Amino acid sequence: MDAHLVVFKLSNELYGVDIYRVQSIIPMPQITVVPGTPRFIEGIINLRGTLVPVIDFCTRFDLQPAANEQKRVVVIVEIAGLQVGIIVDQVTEVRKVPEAAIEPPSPFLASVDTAYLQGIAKLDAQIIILLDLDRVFVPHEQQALKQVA
Amino acid sequence: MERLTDLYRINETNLDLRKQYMRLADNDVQVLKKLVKWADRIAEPLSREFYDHQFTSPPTLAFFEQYVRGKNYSLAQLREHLERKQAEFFRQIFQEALSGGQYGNFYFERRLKIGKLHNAINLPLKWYIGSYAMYQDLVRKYLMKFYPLRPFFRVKAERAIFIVFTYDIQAISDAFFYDYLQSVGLDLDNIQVQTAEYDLSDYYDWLKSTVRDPLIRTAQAGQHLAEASVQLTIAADQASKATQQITQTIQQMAQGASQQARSVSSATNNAEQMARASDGIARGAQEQADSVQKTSRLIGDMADLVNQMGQVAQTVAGASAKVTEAARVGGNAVGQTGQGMQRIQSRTVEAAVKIKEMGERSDEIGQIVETIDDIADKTDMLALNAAVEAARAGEHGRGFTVVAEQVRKLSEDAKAATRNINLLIRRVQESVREAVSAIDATTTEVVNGARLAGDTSRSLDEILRAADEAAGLAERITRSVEEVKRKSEGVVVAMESVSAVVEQTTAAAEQMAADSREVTEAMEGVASVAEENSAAAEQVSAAAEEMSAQVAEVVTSASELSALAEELRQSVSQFRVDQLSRPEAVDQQQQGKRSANAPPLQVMGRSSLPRSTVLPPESSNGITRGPHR
Repeated sequence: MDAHLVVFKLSNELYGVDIYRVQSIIPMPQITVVPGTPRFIEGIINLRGTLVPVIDFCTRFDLQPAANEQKRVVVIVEIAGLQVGIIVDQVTEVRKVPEAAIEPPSPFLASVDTAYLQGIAKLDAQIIILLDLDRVFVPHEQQALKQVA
Repeated sequence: MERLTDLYRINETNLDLRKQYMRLADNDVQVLKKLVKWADRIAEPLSREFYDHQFTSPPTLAFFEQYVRGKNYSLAQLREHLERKQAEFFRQIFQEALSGGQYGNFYFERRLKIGKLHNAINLPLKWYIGSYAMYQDLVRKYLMKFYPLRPFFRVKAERAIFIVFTYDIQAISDAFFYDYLQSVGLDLDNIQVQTAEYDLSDYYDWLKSTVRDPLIRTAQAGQHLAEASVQLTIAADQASKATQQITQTIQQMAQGASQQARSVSSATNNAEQMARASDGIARGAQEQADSVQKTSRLIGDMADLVNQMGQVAQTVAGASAKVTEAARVGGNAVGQTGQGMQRIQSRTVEAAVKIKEMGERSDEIGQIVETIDDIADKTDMLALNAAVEAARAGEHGRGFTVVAEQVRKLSEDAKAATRNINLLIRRVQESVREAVSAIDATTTEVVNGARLAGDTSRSLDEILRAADEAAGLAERITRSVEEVKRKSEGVVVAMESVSAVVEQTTAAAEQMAADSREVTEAMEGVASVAEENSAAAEQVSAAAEEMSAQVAEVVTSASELSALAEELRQSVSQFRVDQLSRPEAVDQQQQGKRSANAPPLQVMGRSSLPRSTVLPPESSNGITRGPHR
């Protein structure tokens, strides 16, 4: 079955998540820092009356963020029944990728730290790294997200 | 000769004579033999008491203190040593009796050595022999202590001991006297006594005279030497005075001769000077003539130079006129340049204003483009959200998805266009900046150019003035040159008349020089004769001076000799030789007496002994006994 992806950029690399997990894409809002929260949570935002925790994926994956902070955007996704905002450098497109173009992750990368890599889509001119949002956060991190929300 | 008895010619024979004389008999020796044990017991205490006296009496104590000073043993150590020796000497008296030695050569040799030892420390004889009084008292005391109930034995013992004491004192006295003679240099080895009955003490009178006679003769010789040296000094002084007179006379003569020589030579010198002077005049005149010619030549050269100068001045005048013209043309050109510059400046300022306006406009365009870009971003995001929504709607949203994608593409195209515009604006603004800075530089250059044009204009003015001045000066030089030419012609005429006078002077001076040379030759003949005289006188004078110096040396030697004689007289005077030598007759009398009393004696010649003759025995009956005192 073809994958339907929202494609975004982190530090000039392309990443893709399943479009059905994405709720909306919003410009960089005002982020409120909540004292006492785990370090991987940047803060919370008010999304039409709902408090949503925000995570910077560049920080999460130890990448250098793009130069222009104002141009960055937040993608609102659903993780474990919870709304979570992830900060990315830029959303480039919404597209479908044929199943044949997707390769599973290299067995050399199958460690705990790289469990969130779902596969790699090889297209004509580019490579998209597919992320499994359910595995980006370990259970106790998911617990922490729930508490913040 | 090692043994003192041999040196002093003491033998068993003449020692027997001594013992017989003192009546030391066999029963005395027997008594001494009996006292051996007594002596052994009392030797130490007696010796201690003996030295109690010597180390408490002021004169002997002072002597011993003086003696130990600077030596490496103390007064107590000296006394301990002396006490031990004294006890030993005391015991020897009695052991001699026990051994049957009869107080002969062996005993006497030991006694002489004891005396010699005391001489070595120089204890005065009066204290040494004086101690025997104490010694005898102590012997009496200890005899009384041990033999209180044997008065007759005590008398016999005292007699025997005291005789031996006297015998010991003889040995001490002999050693003392001979030691003294040896110390004044008398050689005792080569005196030979004729017979065994006599020892050296029998020749007391002869020994005295052997020391005395050479002293007397030395004194007499010194006296004669002193007198002779005085006479020599007087004679030398007289000789010295005489030679000095001779020298003076000769020197006066030499002075006369050399004065004559000097007079002649000064006359010659005068003539020579005259000759030299007239030569000088002639030479001077010649030089004058040369100078006149040289001056004429120089004047000619000068005239040429003046002419050249005139030509140069005219050239200068022409050149300065040309400079003036050129400067005027230059001035005009500079003025036109200045005006051009000002026009450029005003145009440039206008251009700068326009360009700056253009820069401002492009900034405005940039802002508008930013707004467009922002709108495109938002559109893009809306399109993405629409695409997400459409995907969620599934089949119903398929058419919407296509629309959303096209919207998104349009917004991306818009963004690409705005990026291009932004790039262009940036380039325009860069060009504006470059244009502005170029215009600023142009303005600066134009201002500089205007200033330089002003400077150039002023410089040209100065050149004009300088050229005018140069022209004026050149004209004046030309006039001066004309005047110099006229004047130098007059000088040439005057120089020619000077030249004629100089030639006449030269001829006169040459004649004078020839005359004075003849005079000089005549005077030189006279001078050589006078010099010969003078040289001869000087030789005589030198010889006289040499003689005078030799005489002076004799005077010096004579006075040195006199001083030596005086020194000798003073050395000998310590011996009071005047008393000894005054009566020749007494000496002869003494010799006569000796011939009557003295025993026969023979002396071997030695340098230390003045007499080397053998004294024959004057009478055969002199051999009977020792000398009578």
